[in-house]
Amino acid sequence: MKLNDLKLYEEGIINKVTASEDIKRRFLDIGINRGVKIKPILSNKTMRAYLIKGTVIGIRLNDSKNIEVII
Amino acid sequence: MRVGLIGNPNVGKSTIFNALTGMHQHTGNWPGKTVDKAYGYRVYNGVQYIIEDLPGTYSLISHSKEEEITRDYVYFGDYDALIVVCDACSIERNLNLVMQVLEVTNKVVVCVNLIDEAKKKKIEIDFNKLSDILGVPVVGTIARSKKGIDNLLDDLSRVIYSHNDVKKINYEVLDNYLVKLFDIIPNYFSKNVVGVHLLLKDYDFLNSYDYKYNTDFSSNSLVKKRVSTILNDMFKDGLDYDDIQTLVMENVSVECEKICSKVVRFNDKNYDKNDRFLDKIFTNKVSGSLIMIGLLFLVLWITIVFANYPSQFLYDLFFKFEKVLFNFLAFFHIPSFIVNALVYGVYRVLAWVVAVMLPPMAIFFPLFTILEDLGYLPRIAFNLDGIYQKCGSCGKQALTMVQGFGCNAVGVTGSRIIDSPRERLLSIVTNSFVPCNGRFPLLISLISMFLVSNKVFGSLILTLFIVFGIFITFLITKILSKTLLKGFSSSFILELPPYRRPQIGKVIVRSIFDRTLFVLKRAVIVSAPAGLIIWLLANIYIGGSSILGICTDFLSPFGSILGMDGVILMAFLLGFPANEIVIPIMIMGYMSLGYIIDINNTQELYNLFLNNGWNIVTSICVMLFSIFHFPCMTTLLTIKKETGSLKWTFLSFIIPLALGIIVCFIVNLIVKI
Ligand SMILES: Nc1nc2c(ncn2[C@@H]2O[C@H](COP(=O)(O)OP(=O)(O)OP(=O)(O)O)[C@@H](O)[C@H]2O)c(=O)[nH]1
Ligand SMILES: [Mg+2]
Repeated sequence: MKLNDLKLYEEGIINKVTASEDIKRRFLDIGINRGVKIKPILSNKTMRAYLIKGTVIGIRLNDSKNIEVII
Repeated sequence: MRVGLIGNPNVGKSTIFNALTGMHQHTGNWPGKTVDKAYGYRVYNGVQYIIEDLPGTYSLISHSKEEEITRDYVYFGDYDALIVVCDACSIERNLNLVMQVLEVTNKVVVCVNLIDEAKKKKIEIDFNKLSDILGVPVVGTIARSKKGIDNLLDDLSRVIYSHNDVKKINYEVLDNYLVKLFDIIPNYFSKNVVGVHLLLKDYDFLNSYDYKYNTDFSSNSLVKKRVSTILNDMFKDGLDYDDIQTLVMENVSVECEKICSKVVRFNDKNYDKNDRFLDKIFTNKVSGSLIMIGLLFLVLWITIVFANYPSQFLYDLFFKFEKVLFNFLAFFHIPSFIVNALVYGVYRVLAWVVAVMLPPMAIFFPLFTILEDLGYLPRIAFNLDGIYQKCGSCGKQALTMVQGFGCNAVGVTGSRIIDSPRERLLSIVTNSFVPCNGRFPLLISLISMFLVSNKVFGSLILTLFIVFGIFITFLITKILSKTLLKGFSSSFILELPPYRRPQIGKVIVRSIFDRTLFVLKRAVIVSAPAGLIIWLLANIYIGGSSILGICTDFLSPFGSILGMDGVILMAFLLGFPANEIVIPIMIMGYMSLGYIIDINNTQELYNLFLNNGWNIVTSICVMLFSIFHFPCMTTLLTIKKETGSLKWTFLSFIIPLALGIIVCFIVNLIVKI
């Protein structure tokens, strides 16, 4: 399923990242990669913030739709 | 010995830098505070270290503007050792960078900072074990209280002369392909790193490499052929080109996880519950917005209330001293023309700048710094991203906008944290719509003189003015992204750092001190000459009227269309080098035109303005114009430097000015009807 479909406070594991080269790099930088646990904890209209490896990262819904997760 | 400080954003590199060098590089609890290199010195055990503070970076394969500085430094810089700073609360992610650095050098000390925060969160770290695994020294530090800094220096001197084997990345499947490149890669730099970048066709890297080592990897056709054969092989084996980076990072990240499981223990699973609670109320739609406006109001209110006392005190002091100075100079029979120029020109403007302008600046700034240290600013960026996206920009612009409250030039430089060049320009051009520290005092004094004397209402009105400025920021951003900077904003990623308790005492002392020195310095460099110039203009006569009189007469029709007058416009023009001298110049201008000789308190100041035809509308127009006019000289020079373009410097000059003219014109028109 898509990361965007993950409910608030529901934990998923990243399965695949299909973003464009640049954004994928950014994702990799901050630790968004296959096999990593991710949990949405805050949300507003355009963004959600995720708990990932103990840090909180805000990602636009536009970007996070390119991340696939499994529960 | 040259030593570089690198690490993830917001782990305390600049704080370590300050602790090492005794300097005062700016620090702040949000990623992207430092966007440029800084140098400092430290002598320890007879060895001189040149220490460099660098912008934070998550990884070395990344590409944002300020991160490139760091990547190039690690790969191709001239250093004898690196200190890689890590956040003790998120070692795992920080280790990613450590591993990438260890690929290219073994002259590394790992500095695990913020161990006080980790302790609070009951996170336990086994430094010895970590050091054994990595093969380099690991030191725990609390940069803010300078704990562990000496150990850091000890290890540094040791590591510079050692030749330890260090932990290398295991490339697993990729290894098979990388070795096929090894025969063409020279020995002086990690073959794996060069290999990976060849496969990634990362020309930024390859060009820099070629430049440094005199090779031709970026252009050699044999190399290109070899690379494409290997990529073909990979493809046949079911590996995507896309996967190279993912594979590398995945291996690194799995490795880091393994290491962490051995050396880090979380003794409290809910260690971040306070942070999460604060996040909820700070980013909630209702409470978040209320808190944002509320904090703005609170900061302004405190500024207004507390600036009053030192202001009065300094005012009295300076004007008593003015008489002393005058008599003193007269005593030596210095020609009265010179005495007048020095006392009524140079000294007065200096006195006004220091007495009226300095106190609000010295109070506002530390308050702002406390919010910054707490970690509140990124939450504003998160909250405002929705609006910014609608305007074709991103939430990071909120960070640069907020920096603008301190100083617009800082906001302009800070715009480097925005990745997209288009959005960076948006942020640069619109930065001056929030009044900087140097413009607050003007707003504050005019509000209290002309609108309300009650401090609570005064702060409310000031808040409104600022909110209006912010609204205009959105508007102009939107208009620009529909016209000159066409485009829409798609991608935006932002780290929300943990909250940290601000060191209130230290911040207050530090920033009052810094601010005072800064303002005094500017006062001497800018205000004093400006005072002299305006006095000369007012006292040199051509054909019966002073030069100032001629200028203001000339400007006055234009001024009156905008609800102001010639003296006011003249003051804004002469205030171009620094906004804080606008009001003093205005006062000088009026006085020299011969209405009043002595001004001992604000009531007389008020009368001076009234006698010169001011009313409420005049004051409102002046306030609006102070928010919307050309940015000061420093800011414009910074814009030129950051954009490298005269066109954008000019636009940053003309857009706010045009806007100010329009707004004042409209206000004036409405009132007349
Ligand atoms: N409690 C605590 N806070 C610290 C420590 N070291 C730094 N800080 C705070 O952490 C925040 C970030 O510090 P900086 O030195 O600006 O971090 P940086 O790594 O230079 O950040 P960038 O320049 O954005 O990459 C500041 O608010 C510091 O006051 C520490 O050892 N303990
Ligand atoms: Mg820094």
